[in-house]
Amino acid sequence: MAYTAKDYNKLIGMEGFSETLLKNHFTLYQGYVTNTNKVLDSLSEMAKGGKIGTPEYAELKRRCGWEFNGMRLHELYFENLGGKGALNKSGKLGKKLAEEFGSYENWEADFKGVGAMRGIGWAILYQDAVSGKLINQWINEHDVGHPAGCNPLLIMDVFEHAFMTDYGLKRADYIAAFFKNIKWEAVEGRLK
Amino acid sequence: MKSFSIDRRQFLFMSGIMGITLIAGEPETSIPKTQAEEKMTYNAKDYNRLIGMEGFSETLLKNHFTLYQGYVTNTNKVLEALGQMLKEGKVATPEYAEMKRRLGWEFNGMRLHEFYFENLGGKGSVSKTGKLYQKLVESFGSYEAWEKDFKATGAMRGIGWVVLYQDILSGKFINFWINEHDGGHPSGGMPILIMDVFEHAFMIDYGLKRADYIEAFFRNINWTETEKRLLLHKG
Repeated sequence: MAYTAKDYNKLIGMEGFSETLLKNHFTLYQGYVTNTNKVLDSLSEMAKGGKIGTPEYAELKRRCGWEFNGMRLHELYFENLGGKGALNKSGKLGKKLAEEFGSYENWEADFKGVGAMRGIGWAILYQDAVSGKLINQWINEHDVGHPAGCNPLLIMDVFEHAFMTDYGLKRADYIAAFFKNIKWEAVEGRLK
Repeated sequence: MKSFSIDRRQFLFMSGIMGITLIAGEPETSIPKTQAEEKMTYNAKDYNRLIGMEGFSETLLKNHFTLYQGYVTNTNKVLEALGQMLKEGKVATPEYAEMKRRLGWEFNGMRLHEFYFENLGGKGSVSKTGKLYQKLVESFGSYEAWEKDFKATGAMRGIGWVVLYQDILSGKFINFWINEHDGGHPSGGMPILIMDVFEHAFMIDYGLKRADYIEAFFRNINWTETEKRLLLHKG
């Protein structure tokens, strides 16, 4: 069963994101879909061919987490964009954020702080499916630091490709633009 | 295993590229040694001479220099914070451990950028009578085979660096993939040629065309510099 790249062209025209940046970003995303399929195919070929004990198998298996998350996180990211950026603070998510962080503003400051960290990766608001607790998590590259079994609610890409074309080194300006375009209904819909 | 030694000239060169600069204001020899208080900090070097290099825009280079300076600043910050924690008896804390983990990332982010900028600004053609060329032919069969392997390493999916390393014990040459700044350095290896393949190294000028950036990089290699990094083997 192969993964198929989804179409996010509807995001073109979004304020603060140039067409060039978005189109490059979609192409990168498609690369992750293609390569997730490639890696999964190769692994299953190797398994059939009795090559499970080889270094090639092991390295592809390691890479699988990187490609898969590169695909999935981009989907979650694009799908939580294209909104008007205003969270209904008396909604379920708004209340929960205020409950857990003291206020919505505290949560936002923490999430933005994670996004501003030195490094290449993602900022993700996760919901711990077991306790219900909300945590802003730093993900290194695509694969390192995901809390096991937790539910990703809001996803922000902070790879250089997500902002350099439009903002150069001004990551904070990109983060502000990201916030203006959050589709909170999608985020709220992910709550369990 | 071959034995390995370096002469005085090479030692001086190596101390130079290891790049430790004493914060001066006074000559090195007269710096008072107040043991723990002895202040050592890294200074960002100036690579503005690279501006104008074919295939690299001024915007890209200036952003790149700014990023490099960030690594210098943060290497100093992390070292200072660690030193402070040590003095205050906080070495058993999670904060100390995490800063220690981050140190390898910041330090290599600084040092690799220095090696990278310093092996740029040349005319891009390797001297076929030089030592490095001979070594590459010995290790890879031909210069072309080495170049193909180096470029393929640079084209790998991911964020990081390609480094032509010389194993200082065997003298062998290997092209290594370095993940981000810190993943995969061969212990004690001598970095000879360094190519940045973080997105910041090419996206502003080449978009997603990383191969075009790699070509531009090759046209500007300062081979004289890489030649100097070669360690000579005796015996």
